[in-house]
Amino acid sequence: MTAMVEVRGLKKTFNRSDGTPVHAVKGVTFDINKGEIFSLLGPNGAGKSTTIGMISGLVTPSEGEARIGGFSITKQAMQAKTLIGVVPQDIALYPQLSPRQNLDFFGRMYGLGGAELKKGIDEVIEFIDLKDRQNDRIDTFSGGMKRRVNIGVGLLHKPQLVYMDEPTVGVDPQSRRRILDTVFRMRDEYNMTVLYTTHLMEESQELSDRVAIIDHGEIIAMGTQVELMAQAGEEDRLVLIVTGNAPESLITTLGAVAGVTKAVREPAVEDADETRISIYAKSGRTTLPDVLRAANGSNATVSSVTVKEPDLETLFLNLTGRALRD
Amino acid sequence: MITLRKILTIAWKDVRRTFTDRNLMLIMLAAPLAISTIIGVTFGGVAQGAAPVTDIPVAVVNLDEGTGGTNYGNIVTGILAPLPSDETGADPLEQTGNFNLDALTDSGIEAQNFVCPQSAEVTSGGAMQTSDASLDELLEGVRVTTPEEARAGVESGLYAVAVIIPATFSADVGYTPTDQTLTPTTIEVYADPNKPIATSIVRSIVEQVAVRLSTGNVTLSSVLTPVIPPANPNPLLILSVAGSQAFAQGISCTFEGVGSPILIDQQTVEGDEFVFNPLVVIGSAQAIFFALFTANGSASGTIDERKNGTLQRMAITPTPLVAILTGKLLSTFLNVLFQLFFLMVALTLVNTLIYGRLEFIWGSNIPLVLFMLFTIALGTTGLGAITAAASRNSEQANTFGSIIAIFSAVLGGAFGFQLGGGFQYLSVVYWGSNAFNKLANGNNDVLLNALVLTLFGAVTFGIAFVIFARRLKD
Repeated sequence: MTAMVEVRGLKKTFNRSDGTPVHAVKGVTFDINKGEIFSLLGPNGAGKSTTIGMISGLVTPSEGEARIGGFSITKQAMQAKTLIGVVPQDIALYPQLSPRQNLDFFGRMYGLGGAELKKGIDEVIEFIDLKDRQNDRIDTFSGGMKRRVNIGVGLLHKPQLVYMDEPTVGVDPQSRRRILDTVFRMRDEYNMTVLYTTHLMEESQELSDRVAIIDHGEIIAMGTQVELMAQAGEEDRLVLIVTGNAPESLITTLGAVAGVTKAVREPAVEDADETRISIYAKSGRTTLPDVLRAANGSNATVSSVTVKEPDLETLFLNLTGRALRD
Repeated sequence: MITLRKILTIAWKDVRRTFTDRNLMLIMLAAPLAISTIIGVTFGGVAQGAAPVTDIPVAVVNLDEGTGGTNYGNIVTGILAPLPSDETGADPLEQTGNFNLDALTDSGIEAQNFVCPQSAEVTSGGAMQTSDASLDELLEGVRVTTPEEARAGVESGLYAVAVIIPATFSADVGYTPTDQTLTPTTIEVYADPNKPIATSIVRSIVEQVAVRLSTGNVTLSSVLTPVIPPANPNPLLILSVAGSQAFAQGISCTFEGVGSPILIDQQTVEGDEFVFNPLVVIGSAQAIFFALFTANGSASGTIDERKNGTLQRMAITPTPLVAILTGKLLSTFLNVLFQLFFLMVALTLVNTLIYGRLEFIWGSNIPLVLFMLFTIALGTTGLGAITAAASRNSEQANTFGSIIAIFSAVLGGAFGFQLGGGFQYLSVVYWGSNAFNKLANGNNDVLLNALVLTLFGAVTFGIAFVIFARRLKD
């Protein structure tokens, strides 16, 4: 497959006001193939936005190189930028202008004009389903509608590559669903390559052909879902919630149940009179009755139990010892 | 070519956003226009109420040698600097003019009551209803013997204004049956340029008296000439004519405001001939003062765009950073230029409404006026841009910008006074309004103003550009 994006050893170091350096991105390397939806998954502050900033030409890398469609983002920035569309995390629109006027302005910034621009605007307005409100001021729109215009501006010039930086943050479930469907349509109808950053494992799992997990400025895992699941260890996880502060003897008892590989007490939730225990097993559903019997035998009151098949959350937990949302 | 088009697109977007924002329009256009209009109406000689200024020190020099027992210089002097005996409430014009209606009525011939259709101000016998009652509070008139003494008093700050009445004043404006020609004459008003409001008030009073004196004579002449042969001025014939309705009408209507052959020659301490129009002096300074806010606010828009992410969105497009910044600063310049242009035109219209005559108040050299508008916009924009560029955020930029604008306005005379002492040269308001005042007075010597404003604008623009570019790359 041909690489649309080639990132090699990108680093970014900022200096704090007191002069101490902050290594936001510590040398990331990855490729994104044409027509692929590629997710950069990581907790807040992991370095996702800085990485996108560097490969869109907005942030100058301290080290390393990125090529878009074969053009260096630092040495051939103008050629590279014509191939890129960016949907920033925050709404970056002129609130006093209408969607049409915003699209018109940014379209001209991409060098569009005349009939081509008008046709492009019409198509985008149709695509984001805002025909009825196309001439209203943006500041009268709901958050979801603004998000759709924000996406539309990034698609107007029909880029080959679209960066979407956490586009569902602060969006209601209905709008979120619409945005995720839009991402699929971008790939399926326009053959666009999408680089999607998120801290939501569910989005990443649903959308992505491939995922890179980033934490503390480094990529700690990368591959297709199947490849990453294999890395996660192919074990199910049973999450048992028992009332009160469970004694250590209960954790030991549960760890000794047949088919269980380990039982771990999870960090306590503040003000909750309960204990969460993660139990790893080759087959969660088969092991579940024995686990419940063992808990009963230890006089523990089980208030809830969940069986989780291997997922990116598990992988992240395994790799970092922290949950994605921590 | 494509880059130029993008620069214009950025600039046009911002200009359109500015001029479609009603709140901004209120601040940019309505506020300076309202302030200038209020000042114009108050100090332009139109307002009939008391001015918010009292005891203006005025030196009056009456060199008028009079003619045929009539001395018009005494009338003017009596109004501006009355002697204790003059302060009786009687109108000096009724006492010393070359026509005295009381004298006519005392002779047994009653002038018929007549009120001009256009005026309710003139009543029986044509006595003037002046606002002289407030003059005592308004003026602190001092009679001075020589013009030199009066001018020196203005220069030393003893007087705000000196009014110098020429020796031939009565001879020039006076009507006699043997000399019916009215010769243009000049009353010199020698003023301290740092006291424009006081100057305006005195000038307005002198102008009003001059108009009334001269129109009285013109109308009297027009009434009497057809019936009295110049070679044979028969007093009885004059009296009989005076008793007629035609004469009463003519006398009454003498006090309607029409053109005057008496010129008010206003000189400043610096020696420039100077016609004070508050809409020019205060209006231009106020326009530049408010333009400084526009420049600062518009340039701060770059910081706001960065905060809102739209600047980054522009930077992600295939548009060079230089083009983006040029477009942003160009829009600031255009906002200021259009604001100044609209205000100049609007002030001209206000002047028309106040004075009732359509007159372009900024002088006759239109290309030079436009050129100065350009340089003022450049200087103003430069100052606003560098203030915004040096600020951490738009709130800080607005605070710094407001302080700088107010300082510039105070130094530049936007509030009716100047601090002097050379400090005014630090203000773009001074350089701009000074240029407009010169142009309004037909003085085209504004090269220094243009140079200062252009250089200042270019340097500040350049520095602002570099600072913005560095901040955007971070």
